[in-house]
Formats: sequence, C-alpha cells, structure tokens
Amino acid sequence: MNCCFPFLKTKRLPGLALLLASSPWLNAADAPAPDGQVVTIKTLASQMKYDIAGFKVLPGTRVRLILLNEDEMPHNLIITRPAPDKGLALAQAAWALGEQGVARNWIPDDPRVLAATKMVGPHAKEELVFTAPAEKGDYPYVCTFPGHAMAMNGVMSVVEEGVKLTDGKFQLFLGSWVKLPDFSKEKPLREGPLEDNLIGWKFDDYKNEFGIRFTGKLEVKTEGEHFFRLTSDDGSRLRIDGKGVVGQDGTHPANEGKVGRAMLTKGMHDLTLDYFQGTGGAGLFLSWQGPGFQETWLTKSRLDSPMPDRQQDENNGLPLEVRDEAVIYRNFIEGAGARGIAVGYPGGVNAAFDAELCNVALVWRGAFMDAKRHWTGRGTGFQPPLGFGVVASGLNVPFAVLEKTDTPWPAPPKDLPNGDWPAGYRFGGYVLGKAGIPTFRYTFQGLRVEDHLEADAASLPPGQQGVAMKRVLTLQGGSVPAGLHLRLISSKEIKESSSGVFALGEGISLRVPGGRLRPSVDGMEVVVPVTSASGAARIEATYLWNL
Amino acid sequence: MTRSSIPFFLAVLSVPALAQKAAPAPEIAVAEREYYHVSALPEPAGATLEVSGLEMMPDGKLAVSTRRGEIWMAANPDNAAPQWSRWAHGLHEPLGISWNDGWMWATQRPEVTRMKDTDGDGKADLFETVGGAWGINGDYHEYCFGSRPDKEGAIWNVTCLTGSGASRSLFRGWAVRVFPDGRSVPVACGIRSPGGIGFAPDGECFYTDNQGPWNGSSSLKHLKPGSFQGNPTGNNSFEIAAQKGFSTGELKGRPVESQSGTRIEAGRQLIETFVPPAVVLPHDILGHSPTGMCYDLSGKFGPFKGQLFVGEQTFSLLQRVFLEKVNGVWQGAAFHFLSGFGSGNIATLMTPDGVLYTGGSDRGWGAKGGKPFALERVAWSGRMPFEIHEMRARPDGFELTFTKPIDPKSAEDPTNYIASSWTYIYQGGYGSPQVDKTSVRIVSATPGADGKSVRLKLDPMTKGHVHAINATGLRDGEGNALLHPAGYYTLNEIPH
Repeated sequence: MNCCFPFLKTKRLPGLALLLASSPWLNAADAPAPDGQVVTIKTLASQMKYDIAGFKVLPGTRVRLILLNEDEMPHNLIITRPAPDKGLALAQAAWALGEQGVARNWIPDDPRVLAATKMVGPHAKEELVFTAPAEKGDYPYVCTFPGHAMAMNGVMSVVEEGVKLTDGKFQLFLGSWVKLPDFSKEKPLREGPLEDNLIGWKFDDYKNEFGIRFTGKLEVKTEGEHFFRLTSDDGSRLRIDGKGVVGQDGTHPANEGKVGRAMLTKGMHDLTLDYFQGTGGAGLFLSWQGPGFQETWLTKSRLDSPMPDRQQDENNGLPLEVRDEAVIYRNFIEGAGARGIAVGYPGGVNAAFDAELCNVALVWRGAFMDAKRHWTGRGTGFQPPLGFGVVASGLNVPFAVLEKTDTPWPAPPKDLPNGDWPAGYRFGGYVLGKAGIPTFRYTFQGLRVEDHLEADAASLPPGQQGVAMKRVLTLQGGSVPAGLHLRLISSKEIKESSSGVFALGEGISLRVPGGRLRPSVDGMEVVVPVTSASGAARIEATYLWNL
Repeated sequence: MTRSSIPFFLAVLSVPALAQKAAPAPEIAVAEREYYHVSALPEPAGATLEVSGLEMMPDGKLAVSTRRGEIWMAANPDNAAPQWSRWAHGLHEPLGISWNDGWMWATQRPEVTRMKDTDGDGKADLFETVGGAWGINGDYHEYCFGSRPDKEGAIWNVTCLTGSGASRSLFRGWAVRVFPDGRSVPVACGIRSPGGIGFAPDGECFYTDNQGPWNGSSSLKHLKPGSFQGNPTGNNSFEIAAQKGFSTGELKGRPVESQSGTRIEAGRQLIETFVPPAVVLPHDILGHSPTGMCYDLSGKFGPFKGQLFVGEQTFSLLQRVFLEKVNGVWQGAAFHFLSGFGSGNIATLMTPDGVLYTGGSDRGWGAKGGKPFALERVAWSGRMPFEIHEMRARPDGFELTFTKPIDPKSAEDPTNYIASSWTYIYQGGYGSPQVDKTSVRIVSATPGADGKSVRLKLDPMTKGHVHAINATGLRDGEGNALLHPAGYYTLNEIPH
C-alpha cells in the first residue's frame, strides 16, 4: 500500500526504509510476541453490566486489564478462583465488610481473590496487572460493591493456545498486482517449507510486487465453530479445505482484521492463504480461535487487540437516555406484553404499564430501555428492561373484590391478547404532566382510575442511599365496591420487614401503608384494601432500591 | 431543457443501461423531473425520520409521524429550511395520522389513539385510547395501517397477519372501522399484508396488499363492507370471535374455503363475498411493495385530478391509478408515475393546494432509493407531460385518453401499440409467476374526434386478466413519445 496515514501513530522500523501504516491496535510488524495481553473492560452506563461477558487468556501470561468506568456509580472488578456461582459468594464476603467496605475498596481478605482493582469512580479508569493462573479453567470476575454482583460479572477463561500450523509451505511469486491473482496459474519463483511453521511475508529482500501462497494443515481437536481473523497490507484470502473463509483483497493498509467463521470437524484440515504485496507498506496477520483454545497467531506478526467479540455488539444497542423529561417507549416489552408502555422517569427509575391488563407490570432502576431490537431491522419480539433491580408485579389485573381475607386473588384472564380488555376494564390512555410524566387512565367497573408513578427521593429513609419511586392510584366517579383490593405484587419470595414494608429481593422493598402479605399462587402477594373517602379512593405505595 | 431534446440526451447517457429491464432506470427520473419537481425536506437534526404518516395541520404545519413513534411538526414545510419541533413521542409504530375535530388521530400497532396539546406548549399532552379490537402478540409483522377519518369520523384500519402467513389472534388480516365513540366494527376479512389505506374521491375505501400467499402480485383492493379480500388465513377469527362473543361486524359468515392453485376469477365464482383486486400493480414491473395513497382535486397537481397516487417502498416510486366501476366492481389501470425517491415511500399526502408529500424508510426490506429514510415534496412544474390520462374498459377493447393532443397518424396505426394479457395463480404458496399469458391483437385503433383519445379494439379480451397496452409508437402533436407508454388494466369485469 503506497500511502501512510499521518493522523495515525506511525512507527519507523529498523531495517525498513519506509513508514508502516500503523494504527493504535497494530503491534509493530514482525516484532517479537509481546509478553502479555491487554484486556479492556468497560462498565455500561446505568445498566449494571460490564460490556463483555468474558475474555480468554493464556496460562501464565502477564495480563494488563484496564477497567473503564463509564457509569455514574463506582465499581470495581475482582477476579476470583474458579467457582460455579459467578463470584457471588465472594461478593457476599465483601458485603460482610459493612462499614469497613468503603475503606477497603470492598475487597475482602479472602484466599479466593486472585486480583482486584480498587473502587473506580464514575468516568475513571484503573489498571490491573497480574499473571494469569497456570491452571486452565473459568475464573469469574465480579463487582463486589454491594448489590452489583448479580448483574456485574463475567468469566476469565484460562485456556491453552491452539495448535500452530503443521507441514507449512510457501510458494513465492513475483508480479505487479492490484488484486489477488490465481496463484495456481502462476509460476513460483521459489518454494519451500515455512520456518517454525509460522507464516511470514519476508523472503529474500523483496519489499514490493510479490505474492505468496501459504499452505499447511490445521489440527482441530474439538469439533465446532472456529473463527479466523485476517488482515493484511495489501490483499489476502484464506481458504480452509478449499472453501473461502475470510479475505481482504485489493490494495489497502492492515486494520483490526476481518473475522470469518467455519464449522470444522475433528481432525486435519487444509489451509491455503494467498497474499500479495503491491508497493509501500506490507504486513500479514492471521489468527484462529475455537472451542477450548485462545486466539492463536499463525503468522509471525500479531495484533494486540483481542478478537472482536460479538457479545460486545449485543451489549451496545440503542439505549434510550432519560434526562429531565420522561421518555415513553410503547412497544412489545418483555414482562409487560404486546401493549406495553414503558416510561423512563427523571431520577433513575422506570416502569412498564401493561395496557391490556391495565396494570403496572414492571418497575426497575438504572438504564431505561434498549430500542435496538425494535428500531433496527424488522423488530420482532419482546424487549426486557435495560436497567436492574427489576420488580415484576405478576401479570394480572390490579383490582379484585375479596369477600374474606383469605379469598384467593382471581386467576389472570386467559387467552390474552384477545383484542379486548379484561372484563370490567377499559384502557383510556394517559395524560402528560410536569416533566412529561404520564398518568395512566383506565376505567374499572365504571370507576375512573388514575395510576401515577415518579421518582421520589424524599421517600428514602434518612441517610439511606438509593432510589425511590412513588405510585399513587386514585379511583373516582362512583362508589367503591365493598371488599375491593389492589394487588401490588405477587412473587416467589416476599417478606414483611415491618408493618407495611415488604422486602421484595436483595435491597428492594415496597412500602404500602395498610398493605397485607398473604400467600398466592406464585408464593406471596401484597394486597391493600381500597376504601373510599368522600367519593374518591387513594392508594399510595413506594418502591425502594437501596444503595 | 426542452422535452424534445431529452431522447437524445438520454441516449447519450444511458447506453449501457438500455439492455436492462423492468424497473424504471434512473434516467426516466431525469425526464420526469421536467414535469414534477421533487425536493427533499431537510430532516430535524438528529432525528431518524422514518416517515410513517403525514398530515397537513390547519396552521400550515406539516405533521410527520415516524416508525420510531414520534410526531414532528415542520413549520413552513415548503421552505428550504423548515422549522422542526417534536410534537409527540412514545407511540407504537404509528402508520397513519390525521387531524380531525381538534384531535390528532393515529393508528398505532395496538389501537387507534387521539392526541391533543391542551396547554398550548407545542407538545401533545393528552393521549386517549379510542379503540381497536384486534389481537397483537409481539410479532414484527403485526403492522396496522390506519386511514384518515371517513364521513362519520371513523378510522379504517387494516391489520397485517401475525407473521407473514399466520394468524393466531383476533382479527389479524381484517379491516376494522373504529368509531370516535370507541366502537370497533370489522368491515372486511381476507387481508394479507397491507402497506397503506385511503379513500378514493367518492369516499370508497381502498388499501394496498403485498405479494405473498394468496396474492400473486401486489395490488390495490377495494374494502367493500362485508367483503373477503382473498387471503383465507385470518378466517379463523370467525371462530375466535364466536367463542369470545365478539361481533364480526359487516361480515355475515365465514367465507367458503379458498381453493389453492386456481385463479381469482375461479375464487369469485366460489366465494360469494370475494372482491377481486381492483387494480393489480404487476409485481416486478411496477414495484414490489405498494403503500399509501392520495389524490388531488385542486387540479394544481397537474392533469390527473381525482386519480390515485400510490407509494411504492421497494422501488422508491409513486404509481398512478385510474379507477372506474364496471358492472358494480371497481377496477382500472396502473401506470408508472414518478421514480427516483430517496428511500422506500410509505406515506403520501396531498395538500389542498396540490402539493404531494411522500416519505418512508427502507428498514426491514430495503429500497432502491438507498437512504435509510427520506421525506420529499413533489410539485407540478406547470409543464404538461405527455401521458395516458385514462384507460377505460369497453366491451371490445379500451379507450385511452391522453394529456395532450395526439398525432392522429401515429394513433390510428395498430402496430404502434403492443398488447398482452396474463393473470396470476390464486394459491397459498408465496406469490405467483405471470400465467395464462395471452398475446393480444390490436384489431383497430381509432383516434377520437377530440384529438386526445384513441379507441382500441382488442382480441381477445379476457375476464380476470391484467391487460397491458404499451403505446410505444404513439406520438403527440410535436412528435414526442409518451413519458410512460404502458398502462396495466385489471379486467375484473367486461362492460356490457
């Protein structure tokens, strides 16, 4: 490639009287393999997640792990000994530090800890250098700040390097090309075995206008999907068993590589790699990765960056950002149905209303919704909340008349969606108030019901960190039937921690004055009697997320 | 540039493209622009304006709904730099908006909604569910297109089947009329995959349905109350409705089972309520995916007063449709109208002043225009294109009228016309090739006394076939060829 990019970092290499087009992810061509591996992990804003679900390292490698905290909360990252629990037990040991936790960066004095960053503040960065264990296995990593570990975890896999090429050979051709020729029709200048079975492009003193065909065999030890990453300056193409897997033809500088995949059976497979160099910069990088082994370079030159991970794409969608106005997202919402209306409220809380059941289906904190599923492509299926601390109310209608305190809550209406609302209900829409916050409206047996939620920091107990969301329901326009109850939630495990306060899960509680806990088909449920004062009934409830 | 200089100009530019077929080549767009100016509206900064609905507000603002659920208002939309403001957000893929009775009406996927800005801050704050008794369960294909209000203020909605060919919930593949008081009244069944819905000038409701199962080609269909539109997939709603106690409205009973592998003409014989496609928009010739429609009554949009302009998503076009009622059945002809739009047209709007707005997106299916979304304004330049104006069926042929005086010599020569006819298989499989292809002889061509029409006698005239007439050799008084020489007439009925 007869050009260079002055805006990129360039390197003058000894023995090469030319500039190599070299970008930050490129290691110097033909430099010795670096003693170590760089891994960058980001935290995703308001989602309580790391951006990658895992990474692979070689046994005994020196690893430089960079933690970029892009969230508004502090986080750390602790790598633990292999454990099937995603590091949760260790995180609980950290939480047990209690008041000492902050001072100790939530790192417990525990033999399970292999390496740990300190707490990293919002939009800060921390580096961790450690030596990967010699023993192969899955080593969980986790954020041990209280409440984070359930969602913020991942796995460092210590895996062997894959096998290198066997029976590697090259054929060198001379010619002036702008695209790969068919080397089988060209006469090689010379040919021979590859030194150390490693693919390299330097033969004799040719710097310009040559081409090489590399052949060899690759041993696949476990059948499955294999990934091949290839880039070059200039063109190249890889075939496995005669089938094209990945290529970058034409004249161009090298880049971070294109990844092709192939399903390969156990046993030996034929590799053919064609490469040509026009003029100027030159380079060739090929690696592979497969079941049970780490990205392994088949070329003498290697890239620093890890193989692009598809997980990263999955975690980086189209998050809808909520600032000082409520954001409404009406769509197919997992847990809130095909007539779901999600609302992201200023203040870091969210809810999803099921406009078919006429009920609040979900509340959660942190990030609102990822619109990628519905706003790119055709957009089928249901999208779950993006944030964390999700509380599902248990899909059912909000009201029922309970004749006795132990009258069971009626079963949810069957065969929804059915083109109509449950008997007695009719959804009426919503009205936007201050900061664009909606109040949902529906009718229930002739009564006009309004259901309103919003963030309410004042509801937090003094000195407690966290977020709170207040819900106010009103019923007007008629007499409230005797024995009418509102059900706020039905789920597996609910405990009454004090009168009218119910623990819904780790660090999540519901406060409902007059609320009553009783068994339900799901486990337990919280109901509250609806009584009318001067023709209108009003029920208040508060959802609280600690820390 | 004068009209007569175009053929030479095009010949120079387009030599390599001449051998290619079907879709209008880009050069036709160049020729068309002499008669119709097409200009892109600058989108609001940062917005993904995947146009899904259009409306002209009483204050002259252009309202634009998007597939991402927003409604934007453009003040001075005819200006090079309209001022945009966001009026609403958070809607579920609205496909059809209209302003009536002080409310903005929108058909969202799950319901018809009306909206209002009660405090005058330029943003809607009241979102009222009007109604919409149809099922929905999370499939991308569960689109719902809504009309403007009819004379009773009701919105006509056509629901796509769940998945491209199945219906698991109530009234999918049906047309449902939603009244302002919230009542939902089913009016037609047998729908597959609509792309738009609207009214003809006399108030009859039409929709476009896309090629697929039971649709050999895409077409424009007449939503006659009580009708079956040809796709039996959604007929299970008759049973679902009976079980759940829902009224099937104008539909009096489940249509007789369709016979796959036949013809629509045979289906009409078998199924009493089967209303055949009014105008087939021949697949691959006129497009792949027809959408919204509008018409002009002002005469300011050129010579096609009262005719329908139909959007086309895949080919990024507008088609033109002439309709007539023969033996009580709607039918008519389709013509190429304008090509070269920026993205896949979905919504169309004609203003009372004869300005057409159209826009859309290519999301999910792709469009030739190449842009992910676009909004464009179309205005007549004032120059008269030489086009077939109307194409009417006669007992033994067709009468073609033209927008300009024709050269009688070229008009009376039968060899100046090429005619053919064909139909499609009526089947449960996807689409259909053209079948029963028939070569049609032009028996005679008789120019009309008005100097702007010609009466063609054809042999044979085949009931149920699309009849294509390509007036390749016809010239106007100045020796120019037709801008779009072909018309495609769907002969459901032969006049007595």
